[in-house]
Amino acid sequence: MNSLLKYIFSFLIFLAAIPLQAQTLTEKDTVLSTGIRVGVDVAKIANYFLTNKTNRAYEGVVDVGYKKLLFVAEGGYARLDITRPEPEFSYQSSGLYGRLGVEKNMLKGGDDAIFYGARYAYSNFSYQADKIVITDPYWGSFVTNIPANHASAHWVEGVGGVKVKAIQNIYLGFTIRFKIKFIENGYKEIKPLQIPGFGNAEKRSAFGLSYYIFYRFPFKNNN
Amino acid sequence: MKVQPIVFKLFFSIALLGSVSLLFSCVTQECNTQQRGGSLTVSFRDIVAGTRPTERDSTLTLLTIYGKDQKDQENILEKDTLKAISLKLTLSPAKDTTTYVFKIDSAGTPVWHSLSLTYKRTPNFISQACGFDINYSDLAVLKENTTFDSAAVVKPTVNLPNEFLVKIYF
Repeated sequence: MNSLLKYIFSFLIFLAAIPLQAQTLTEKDTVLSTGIRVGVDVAKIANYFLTNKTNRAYEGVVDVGYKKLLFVAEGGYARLDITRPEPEFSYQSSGLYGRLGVEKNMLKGGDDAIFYGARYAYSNFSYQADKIVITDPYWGSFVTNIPANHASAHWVEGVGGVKVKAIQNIYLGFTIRFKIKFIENGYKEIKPLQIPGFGNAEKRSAFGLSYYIFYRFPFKNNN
Repeated sequence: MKVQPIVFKLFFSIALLGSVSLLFSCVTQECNTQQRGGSLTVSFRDIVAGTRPTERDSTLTLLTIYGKDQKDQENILEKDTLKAISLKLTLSPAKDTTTYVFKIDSAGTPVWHSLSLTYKRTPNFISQACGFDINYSDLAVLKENTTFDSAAVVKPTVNLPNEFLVKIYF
């Protein structure tokens, strides 16, 4: 519990520091306060088709500018499906995740952004292994399964990236993430292999990459 | 409809990052780690009587060792006779009890002894390529199926690699 308080406290200090710094900028530095952007992570969709099709993930993002900051909400669904004939086992996990955070544009004004920011993230998921076969040439085989188990995890992210206007109301961008996990709940028998939105459950920290295509819904017609 | 110059930079970045991602995704996953079962070091000991009894290594001439209830009762050591003060055996992943039968040469006459061990098995994930192995814990001697004078587990629970030490007093 102490570590949770420590992380939340550090995260809040980080969030509080961004607007303080932003207040020193001029009014024209305000970005995208006249529209809301909705995007999808195309890298996650591409990853499924370009790799061995065990990892299916969909992620969407909404961001809106207010004053000098960009407020971001990201959410997604991830499913891992592994079936191996040798050594024989099958494993499934699936779950939802969400992130909330802010970004600060390092460019002054305009539609493009080179940004840094932070996220608080949460995932709720389930996992199971239906058939685990461990074979010993002398003693024979051990066959077991891990029943469905519900678990959750919390982590924080430091993010950085680029968002640029490609054509009218269409934006492209990527976000690089450094994630630090600080709470995991509900594990029984085995740890999950993957936490939706975070990655390898064995690791306490991880890097991530998102590639977004956005559509901007303008609040005003002249934007 | 005007395409911004920075878009070209972005596309360059996308192509670069995409290439790196593809490079990683194309690496074939292979298992270079052999699955590890529970490993057991059995140490033969005897007690030297006296006012202060002391424990020391004892050498046994082992003719064969096999797992009880194994269909072919195949020798799990070398076929040849082995003089040993300690030896390594594997625990059965198939059951939560393993019983070894030792055929020992006692002054030219074969004698049989058994050692029975119970334990808890928990699957342990290694990697997608290697699958699972087993963590063994709570190792204990099952006295009713053990015919040695006595046997003791030195550390009932160990971390990976699962290597336990059992002392057999003979």
